Amino acid sequence: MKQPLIFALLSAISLLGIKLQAQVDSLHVEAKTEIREVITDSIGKHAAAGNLFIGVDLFSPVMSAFTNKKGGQAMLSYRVYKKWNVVFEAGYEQNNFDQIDWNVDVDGVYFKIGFNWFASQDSKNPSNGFYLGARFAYTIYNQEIKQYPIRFSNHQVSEYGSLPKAAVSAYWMELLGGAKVHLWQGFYADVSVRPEIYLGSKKQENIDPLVIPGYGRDQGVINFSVFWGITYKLF
Amino acid sequence: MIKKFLTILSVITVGYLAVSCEDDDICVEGSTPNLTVVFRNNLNAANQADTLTIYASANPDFNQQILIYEKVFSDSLKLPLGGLNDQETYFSIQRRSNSTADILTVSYNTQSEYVSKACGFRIVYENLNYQSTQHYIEYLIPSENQDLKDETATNLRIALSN
Repeated sequence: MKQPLIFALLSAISLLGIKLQAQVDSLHVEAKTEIREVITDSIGKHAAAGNLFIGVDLFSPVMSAFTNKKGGQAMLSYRVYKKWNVVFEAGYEQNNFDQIDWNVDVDGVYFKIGFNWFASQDSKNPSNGFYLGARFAYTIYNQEIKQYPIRFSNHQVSEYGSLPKAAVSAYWMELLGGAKVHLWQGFYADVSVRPEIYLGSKKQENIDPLVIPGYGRDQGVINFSVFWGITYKLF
Repeated sequence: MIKKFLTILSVITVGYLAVSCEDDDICVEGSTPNLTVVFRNNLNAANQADTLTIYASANPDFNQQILIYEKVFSDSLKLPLGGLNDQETYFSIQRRSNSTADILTVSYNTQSEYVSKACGFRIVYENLNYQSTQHYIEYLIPSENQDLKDETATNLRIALSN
């Protein structure tokens, strides 16, 4: 009498146990999938590519109001991997060098390609933070040397010459440090300062370039330019 | 974040304005070369006997002459030639104070040549040719090189009579 009862009880317990175990299993699986979802979510925010920004420089238009330098610059940046963003910039600039007896007009388009690497990133938004970067820049432009000095003995300027408009080009490197800050909705402020290192150029009559669109006036080995941008996150 | 950003923004802007002040460019390299003339006696030995007074002019009539040397006592002098559009320069070379001056005529072709940003261009001279009257100048010995690009070399020796 007792034996079948015990058996039934045991089998009931074991059934329950199996059921319980099954329940635990299902819970476990659910938990696993949930964790996986969280992980993929966070990868989606921090590692996967996908933040495309378009932007314009506000510094050039502001400078246009005060100096002979006129122009504008637009940029495109795309986050390719974690902290790495590929950046493409293009602009147009008219500038003039009117010093030490020279008078040179230039106008032309320039292109810059390079990357930004975020040194510090907001944990919630990988496009918010401080970055370092580099660009390779190239410009093709018109140069008109309206006046050049001819120095006589004793280094006195004795007379002036001029050269007709010619198509020339130049290239340089930019290293940059900057910050990108979320303002509202899709808009971000993007500011960087860029030491520019002149590399080379196609010259007119061997004359070193005195002013280059996108690079600025020649001030020795290193120039500085500033980008004050407002950018918009497309996705 | 915004505060930090604004601080950086102002540092960048101030830094940019400070750096964009242009450096002074002073021309220290070579400019247009002078003609280097060495005076000799008629035995082609050093002439240290007399003072020389030299005027330069772009015209043979010397109506716009420039005093270059006044009673100098030297046997090696540098004479400036003309500008880009000139082809001849005339020098009136007077030995002692009250003697008749000789006229040295230097003819050449000019060429402008880029030097640097600070200096701009200079003039170099080609196909140099010399002629002179013969009051006190006996003969001229031009150097073999007819171009004038470097004024450290002697271009012309002038032999004066005793």
